[in-house]
Amino acid sequence: MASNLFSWPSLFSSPDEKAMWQVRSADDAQAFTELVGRWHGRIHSLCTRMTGDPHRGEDLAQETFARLFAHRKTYQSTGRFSTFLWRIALNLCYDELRRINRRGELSLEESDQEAPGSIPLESDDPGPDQSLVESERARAVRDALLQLPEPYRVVVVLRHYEGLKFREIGVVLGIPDGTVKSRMFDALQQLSRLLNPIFFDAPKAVRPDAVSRPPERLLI
Amino acid sequence: MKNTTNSQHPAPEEWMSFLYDEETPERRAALDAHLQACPQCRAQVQVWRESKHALDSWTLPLPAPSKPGFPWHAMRWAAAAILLLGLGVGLGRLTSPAALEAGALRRALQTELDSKLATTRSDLLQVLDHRQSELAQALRAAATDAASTEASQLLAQYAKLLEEQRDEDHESLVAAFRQMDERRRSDVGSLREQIQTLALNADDGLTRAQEQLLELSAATRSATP
Repeated sequence: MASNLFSWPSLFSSPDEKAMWQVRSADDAQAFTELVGRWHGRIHSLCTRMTGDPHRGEDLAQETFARLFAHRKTYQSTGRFSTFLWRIALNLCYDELRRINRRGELSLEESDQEAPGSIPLESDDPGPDQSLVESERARAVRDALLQLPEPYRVVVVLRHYEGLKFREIGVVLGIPDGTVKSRMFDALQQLSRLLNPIFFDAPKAVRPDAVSRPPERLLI
Repeated sequence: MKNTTNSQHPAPEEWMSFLYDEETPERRAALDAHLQACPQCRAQVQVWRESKHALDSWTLPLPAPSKPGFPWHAMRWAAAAILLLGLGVGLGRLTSPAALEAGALRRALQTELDSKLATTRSDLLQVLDHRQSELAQALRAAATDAASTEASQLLAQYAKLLEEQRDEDHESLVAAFRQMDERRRSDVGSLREQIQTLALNADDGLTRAQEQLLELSAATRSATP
């Protein structure tokens, strides 16, 4: 009985936890629709950044929500819904990236002929030259991110693009905060080497002790 | 480790928190001070900031804005604050010396207050009974007056209605009598005409009978020898 009480969402749970509990306990379609509406954009963004392909990102986002519903009974209300959902999406991204690697296919090569989802068609047109420059820079950033090992890439994506705190990233990935920050540091070092010559002409000097740290690929 | 002098640089992890505004204000001030004094770290942080700026070049179409939900997190903190405030006030009241003295004083005055309250209550009950009886008499008188006045009004209305009804009935009766009189007169007129006709017919019959009797008498006289 006590365990049941503790497993129920409390009065102070967020709307996401309440909605997910409704999905889990009553297969509530409306609650599930609300969750999709609130989270689809962020999950699509995460999957696109991780794979470098907005179309693949959309497929993965849809599969994420399909898997969320399929695994609804495994959701524990004592945990945060966002952590549960980020993990599902990231696992799907890892699976997809492994399939790409097995096929010897590079995600950035596959979609190299198109803009990486960066230039909104309805945006204020700054002119063809400026658009071309922005598109080239966006592609350069995407390519640089895809060159990062996944454990580093995911930290950059979650911290820089999705706005999670280092502590929250540690919870999602199941690693200490210090490790998250360390990976962020290594990722920024590599990105500096890859991007600064493109964006800022001359490469900048970095501290020798900083670049000497070998990146470690950690499993989640 | 956390020394921010030129001889010992802050750890890279600390700079990451600094870059993404996750340091405490105190620690951030210390790191700012280190940056002012350390050209090497200043250059390094500038490189990282440029990399961060470059990352912003990859934008995605904005997702559809979601409806803002109820601020449950704010409610959580508000509820916690109210709970803590309530606990603090309760504990303060229970443990303060002023509360203890007030309790002793309350117990000392309890008996005297009870007796005075009992006396006052009995006095008030007597006054209340007296007032209730006066009020009942006044109510009865008022009710009687009101009843008589109301009955008079009702009777007047009833008489008026009766008079009106009687006038209506009288008019109906007069009309009916007039109709009956006219019908009677009409019947008498027709009866008179019938009687006159009958009388005339009878007179003619008598005349003819007399003539026949005269003829019969004459015939009889001539036949007799």
